[in-house]
Order: sequence, then C-alpha cells, then structure tokens
Amino acid sequence: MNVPSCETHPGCITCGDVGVPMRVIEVGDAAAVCLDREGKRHEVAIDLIDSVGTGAWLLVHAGVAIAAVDAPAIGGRGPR
Amino acid sequence: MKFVDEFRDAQLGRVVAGQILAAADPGRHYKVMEVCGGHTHSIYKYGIDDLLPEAVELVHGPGCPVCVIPMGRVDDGIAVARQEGVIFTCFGDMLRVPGSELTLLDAKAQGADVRMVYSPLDALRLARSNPRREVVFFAIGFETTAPSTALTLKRAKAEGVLNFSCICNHVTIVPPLRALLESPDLRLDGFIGPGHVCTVVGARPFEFIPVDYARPLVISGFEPLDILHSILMILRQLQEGRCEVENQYTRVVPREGNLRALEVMAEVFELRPHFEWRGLGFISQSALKLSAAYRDFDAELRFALPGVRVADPKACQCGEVLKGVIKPWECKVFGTACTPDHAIGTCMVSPEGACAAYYNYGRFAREKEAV
Repeated sequence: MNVPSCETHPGCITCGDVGVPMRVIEVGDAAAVCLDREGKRHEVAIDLIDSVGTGAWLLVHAGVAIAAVDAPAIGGRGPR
Repeated sequence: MKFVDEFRDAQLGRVVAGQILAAADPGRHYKVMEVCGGHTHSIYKYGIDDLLPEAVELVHGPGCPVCVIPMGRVDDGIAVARQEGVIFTCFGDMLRVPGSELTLLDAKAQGADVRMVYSPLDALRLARSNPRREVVFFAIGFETTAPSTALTLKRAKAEGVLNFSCICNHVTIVPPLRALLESPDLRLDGFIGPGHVCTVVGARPFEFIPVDYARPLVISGFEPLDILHSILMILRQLQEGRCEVENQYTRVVPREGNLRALEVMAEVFELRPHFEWRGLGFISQSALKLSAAYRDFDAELRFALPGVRVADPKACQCGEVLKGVIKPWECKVFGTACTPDHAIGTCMVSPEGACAAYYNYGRFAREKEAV
C-alpha cells in the first residue's frame, strides 16, 4: 500500500496541513481503500466520517479522512 | 482531478484577478493575512501575489505547525530518541527542524532509531510489530492533524498497545490569532481563514474576529482559485461595509466542523495552561496535552525530558516573520546563512514556512532586485 510521502511532494504533506481529495473504491469496518490523484491506492481511516460509501470523495490528512467532500457544491460555490 | 483541476483554471484565475482589481480601492492599502502556511505555499507556488493589484498586500501568518515548535521541544524529542530501545517517529519536515545543537535527522545519523511516518497510525503499526521496543510519536500540528493523533491513541488504548506513547505538541490556532490582533505593531484588514483547521473546528471559533476586532475572515480552500476568490470576498466585505466570517471552502467545511473529530479530541486531549510558540513566546491555553484518561500513553510522563527552554538564535527573525511584521527577505540571514539546505530558523524548514516558500519559488531574487 503506497502512502503519499515527503519524497514525492515538496515537503511533508502532513506538516503542511495538506488535505488530499481521494475517491473511495472499497469500504471496510474502520478503513476504506481510496484512490488519489495519481491513481495510487491508500488505506484511509474513516472513523471520523458519518457514513462512507463507494464512490464518495474524502478529504484525507495523515491517513485519516477528516471530511467528506461535497460534490454538489462544486459547480455553484466557486468564483465562476 | 476532480476537486483539484477545476480550481487551477488559469483563465478563470485571470477573471477573478480582474474582479479583485475592480473591488480594490486604489487609494487604500489592504493588508490581508493568510493564517495557514498551506496558503502561503500555494500563494508562492502559483504566483497568486503577482495577480494582485499593488493595493493588496498579503501578510503571512503563524499557521505553519513546524515553524512554531520551539527549540527546547526539539531537544526533548532528541533526548527521548536517543534512549535505548526507542523507535522515535515523526512527520517528515520535523526531522530537519534545528534544536539547540542537532536536528532529529542528525540524531538519526548518530545512531538513534528515528523514522519518518506519514500518519500517527503508521507509528502505532510499528508499535504493534515491535512489541519489545518503545515506539514514541512526536505529534505536531494544528486542529487539522490533532484528530489523527487522537484517533491513534484511542485505538492504542482499546487494543492495549502499551509500548506506544506520544509527545504531544499539538497547538490551537485561535489563541495566537488573538495575540496577533492584540499586537500594536501589526495592522491587518482581513484574514484568509485556515480551511483545513475549519474542516475540524468549523467556523464558530473564528466569529470573535469580526465581533471583537471588526475584521472580516473568509475560510478558504487551498487551490489558486480558492485563494483568489477568498481575497475577492474579503475585499467585497470591506467595500460593502460588512464584517463577518464567510466560508469560501463550502465543498469541504461544514459550519459546525467535524463533530466526531471534536468528540475524539475532547476525550484524548485537554488544554495546556500555556505553551511556548517559537517567535511568539508563551501563549495561554494554546496547546493540547493528553488527558488524564490517556496518561499511560503520555511520553512526557514515561520518559525523563530535559524540558529546557532554549532561546531562538539571535540572527534569526522567525518571530517577526510569523507575526507578519517583516517579510522573509527582510531577515538578516535569509538566503545567506539560512537556506532550506541549512536552515537556522524553522520558517526555512517546511515548504509551508514563509521563508522557504519565498526562497523555493524565486521570490528571493525578485525581492532583492527590488531593494
């Protein structure tokens, strides 16, 4: 299982408060398997999210999902 | 990628930059602080400051979790890392933060078993697979990161992984912001709020800023369009005489935050009476320690820590940079004695540090030419 690391990012993504959007492809009891931007698989703890389903988008920080990303908001809330 | 690429659209960026130009009163000078180091990094990576009119100045805030760790805490970590049988774990940038004599990376080179982890859960895995070793996690970060440490400790307690412990350096963002707003040498017109911290704590903790200090704050995402849009929202508040907490990052930040994360944090942590911030000094109730229920996992109780306060190097002006009083390039050692390869100050260590962001994205040369 690959994890985002300081070796491939300019600096430590955890130190930098970076939240990574990932798409859920498989849901287990306390963890989900997610895909990141490059299509890499990650095991992500989902204890802090109310309900997680396959296809959902999560904001992941330090291996833990800290928020569900709200897909419907994307079109209407930006500066366009 | 969804949720990323659409917020990096250059054409839209130019449109919003035009709207910012129209909203800014050319006779006025706006100082807007981006609280979070992640924003600082994005601003210089994408050249957002180049798109802004001269009337709008971005000031870098104290929100880099690596930059605010004082040298004495690094020394404490190194002292534990050197103990027999210890596997010492921490996030990547923390390895290069200077203590009074060494960094954790130096200690590793001298034989200490120091390992980088991406998640505190990785440190817990190490503890499970090395039951005869003491695995210590050096926890840093704001409220974005604290839930992952709390969740890890909760799992460690539930599973009885007693060879795992934590040196807790988690800090909270509101007390230093209040300290900055009380500072007489800093005039600010508005704040770009820390989007990922707000994912956890919500918008409410920031409402004192418009109420008590009459400054707008816009919770912002981290992509270039997010930041430009947030600056525009701040200028429009000022233009319309409004002053409130607004949420630009609605695709991620609920107004009430992440209640589950807050619940776990409340179980595992309690506020420290005071904590030293690099460059800012001691700030009351600005950091977290493990609660009594988790004292068995508190490395500060398990190991003897030197606990010696170390003054910052005299040449380093990280404190003024963290407060936004000076720009990184105005520091005496910026780009000469202090570089990312040989950092004197913490702001040069993490890419989210203002000095490293300036240096890495070529602001060093530009600013020097301007002088």
